[in-house]
Amino acid sequence: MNPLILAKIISILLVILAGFMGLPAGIALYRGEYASFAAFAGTMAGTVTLAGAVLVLLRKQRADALTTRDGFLMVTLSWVLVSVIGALPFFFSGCIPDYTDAFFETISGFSTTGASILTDVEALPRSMLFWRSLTHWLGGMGIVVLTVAILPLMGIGGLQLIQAESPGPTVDRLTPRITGTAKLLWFIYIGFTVAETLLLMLGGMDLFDALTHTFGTLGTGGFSPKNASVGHYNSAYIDGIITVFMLLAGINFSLHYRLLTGRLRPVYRDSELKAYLLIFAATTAVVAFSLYGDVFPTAGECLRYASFQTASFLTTTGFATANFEAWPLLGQIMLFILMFVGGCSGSTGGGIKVMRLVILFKQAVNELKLLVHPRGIFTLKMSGGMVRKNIVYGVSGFFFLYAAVLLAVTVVVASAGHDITTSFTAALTTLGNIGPGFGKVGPVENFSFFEDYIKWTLSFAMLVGRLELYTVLVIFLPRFWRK
Amino acid sequence: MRVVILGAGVVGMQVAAQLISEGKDVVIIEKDPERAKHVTGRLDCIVVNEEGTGITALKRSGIDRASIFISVTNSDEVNMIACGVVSSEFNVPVKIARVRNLDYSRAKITEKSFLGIDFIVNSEVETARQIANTIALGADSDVMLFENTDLQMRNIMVTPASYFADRSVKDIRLGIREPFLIAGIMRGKEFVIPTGGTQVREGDTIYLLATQKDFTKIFIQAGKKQETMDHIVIVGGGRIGELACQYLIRTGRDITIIETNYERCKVLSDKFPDALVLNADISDESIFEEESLGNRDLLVTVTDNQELNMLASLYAKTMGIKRSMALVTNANYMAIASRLDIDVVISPKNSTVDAIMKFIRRGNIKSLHSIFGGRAEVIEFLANEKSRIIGKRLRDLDFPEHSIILSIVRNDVNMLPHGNLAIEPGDLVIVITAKESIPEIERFIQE
Repeated sequence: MNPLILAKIISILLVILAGFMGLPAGIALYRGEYASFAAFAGTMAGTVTLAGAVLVLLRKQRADALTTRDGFLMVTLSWVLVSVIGALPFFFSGCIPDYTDAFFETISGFSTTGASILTDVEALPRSMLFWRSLTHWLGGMGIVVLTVAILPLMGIGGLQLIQAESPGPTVDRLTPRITGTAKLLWFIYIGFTVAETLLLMLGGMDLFDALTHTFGTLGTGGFSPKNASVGHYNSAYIDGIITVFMLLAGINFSLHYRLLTGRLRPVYRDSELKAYLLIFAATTAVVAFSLYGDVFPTAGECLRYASFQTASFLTTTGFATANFEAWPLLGQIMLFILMFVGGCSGSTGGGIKVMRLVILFKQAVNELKLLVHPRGIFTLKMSGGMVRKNIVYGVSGFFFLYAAVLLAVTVVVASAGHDITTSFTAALTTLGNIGPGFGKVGPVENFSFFEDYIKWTLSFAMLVGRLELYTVLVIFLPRFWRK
Repeated sequence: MRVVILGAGVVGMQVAAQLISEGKDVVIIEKDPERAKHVTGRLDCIVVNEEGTGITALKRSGIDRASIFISVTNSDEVNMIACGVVSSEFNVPVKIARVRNLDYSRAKITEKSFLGIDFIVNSEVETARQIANTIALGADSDVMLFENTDLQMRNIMVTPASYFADRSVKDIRLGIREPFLIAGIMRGKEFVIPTGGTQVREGDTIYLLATQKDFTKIFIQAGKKQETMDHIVIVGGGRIGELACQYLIRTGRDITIIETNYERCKVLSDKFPDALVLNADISDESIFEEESLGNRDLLVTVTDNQELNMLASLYAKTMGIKRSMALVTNANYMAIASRLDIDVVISPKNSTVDAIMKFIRRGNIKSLHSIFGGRAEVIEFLANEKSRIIGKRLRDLDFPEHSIILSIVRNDVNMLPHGNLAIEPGDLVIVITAKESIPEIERFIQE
């Protein structure tokens, strides 16, 4: 463990964060939101001074001696500190007067969850809304780089797989160096951002709305600057565009890279992608069926709302175009089940991840086959390659931990006397980085009524869920700290 | 003629034995002293006990005077490098390497004369292909296919009730309308090339030559029913088993592979997700019950242990499997196996020997198969204008004893021979000949 190197890397990260704050600060200045501008400027100045001082002090420290353990700590600390600092403008400007709320809102942004404590979103100044959405975009990017380029090196719960589309002993990275991979992913991410923003503007949104919704979509976050979320626009075109981009953001970004470079074979063979699209299509069909006649009169409308809400839950975005709590129970249950699924590995989506569920499913089928053929040998195959036993163990461990954390958080929420639906879905939606839940945390409600200790617990759940459980939980292992 | 063989494994020994019986001088290079001693005691040849890629060892083997260098060690890379060393340091006209890796075999190594290799042999591929072909044709008999014609050679075991029993070859031909030829008779350990007067006896295995279509009819007359072969058990997941599975699974058949080695099972189950791979020993009877193997159509045994192959095939038949097929390498066992209730006996097609023989007897020979561990050879050759057999009617040819013309292919049309047929230039002639007549037939062709 080398705390000096950690301090240095995190300081660099905070300076970059302060740099990004320049954007909403600019907007504040431009629109004359001086209180907001002061909050941003103050936060930026403070952060740059402190982080700058650390950097100057540690300028001789070389940053290339990180161990895997340092990596876990660094990733977790970065997410926490970035949220701590990112919450300051909300707090200083008085937009969110309580720091607990401000932190909840910010980590909800950086973890791309999209759960909000704001009752009236539209009351916030534009610059604050922009910052709120920007946290999604930054968090989404961070998570893609993390899951595609960094976590596999640490061997987190089956995620090694996302680089192993082609079987063989060599890890199939996109580029030979991590920085190269990260750069590539940035290009793809920015490319998607530009494309979606333009398409949304074609649909009649102004630049501000288009950008903020794009941030919310690509980060699979779900913050919208409108009280009625995407439903505000009531436009089939906008719903369609956002549905498509939510789905794209929920796909492994290394597949996007392969698709762009014309290597279709790994994309075509990808078991996770196939399962992901299949889940989307099947759920949309069932939800649309449940809506037909009762809620919407035409099949087209059913499909429009069903596909949007399905994509929103599957990719863990959390946008809403309708109050799905008023939908028939069949449709609601389908959406509820999707909360356990999540996006693909290496995407900005959260949740358990399709990859892990497919592996567990295939393992379960193999166990059944083994009962029929006790001496049979069955290998688990993903995307045409063999999945080794230790990956299956990693995934099983992840699944158990996920369930355990989910139940623990549910108990904490319920301890304040909230009903089962609210307690369970609040835990599920934060751990899965989705956003809305059911009951008192449904699409038209928010998280503001929760007690402070519950908000902190849910914030923790968002962090744990975002960082694939193991990254955070390993820090609580006593032997992690042993020399 | 001197032949240097590198590697005294099973293939090396087989090739050496055959070449020695043909009167060639053989030198074997083998690095394992135990193995070298074993070979010295069994074969009439020189054994050099040294590492084969070394130039001194090659010199000591008298490679300067050798006409053929054959590298058949277990390592592809050693075989290829050895050929490379030989081609750069010595002047040996023919260099043959055994290469088992399919990637290498498919590469353009011989075309581009990489490392001076003239010929690549991979007997496992040939054997697996033979298994797949035989199964495609119903697995009711051994099948030998020829390259340039759609004729095939198959065997029938003569039972007492059989139409063929106790009749002369001439009578049998008169009695069946479909065009066919009796190419050979296996009687005990002896391989007989029949003449018109040869009597077929009960217990013989007769080798027939006909087209695929006609065989169906002939087999019905001989009392063998056609069966579909959709559910196949392959015993032994070695390279032959793996390749056979690869060929068979493409045709949509249901394949079960039984292999004792766990690691090997994992490889197979990874490679063939649609096949059922069982980690079990076929000699453990309970596996038949557990997996109800008796309900399958065919059991193919391709383990390294030929006795186990034969026994497992026999046992499978008693358990109710319709057909069984066994891989048997030893020529004496092959004779026994044909007389037991094993439907098909597969012998690893000795492509190494065939290739060498073809090189030795170059000229107009197009292809050559040695069968029954070298007891007979099927030779395909091209009749050229200068040959003295041109223009004469077959009945006037003084054809060597113990050999017959099986077929003449003219403009891609097969003709079964008859006395009035005359060979024309450009005809492809297929001849079967017993071992003792090979030199005579060679002379006959070359003149």
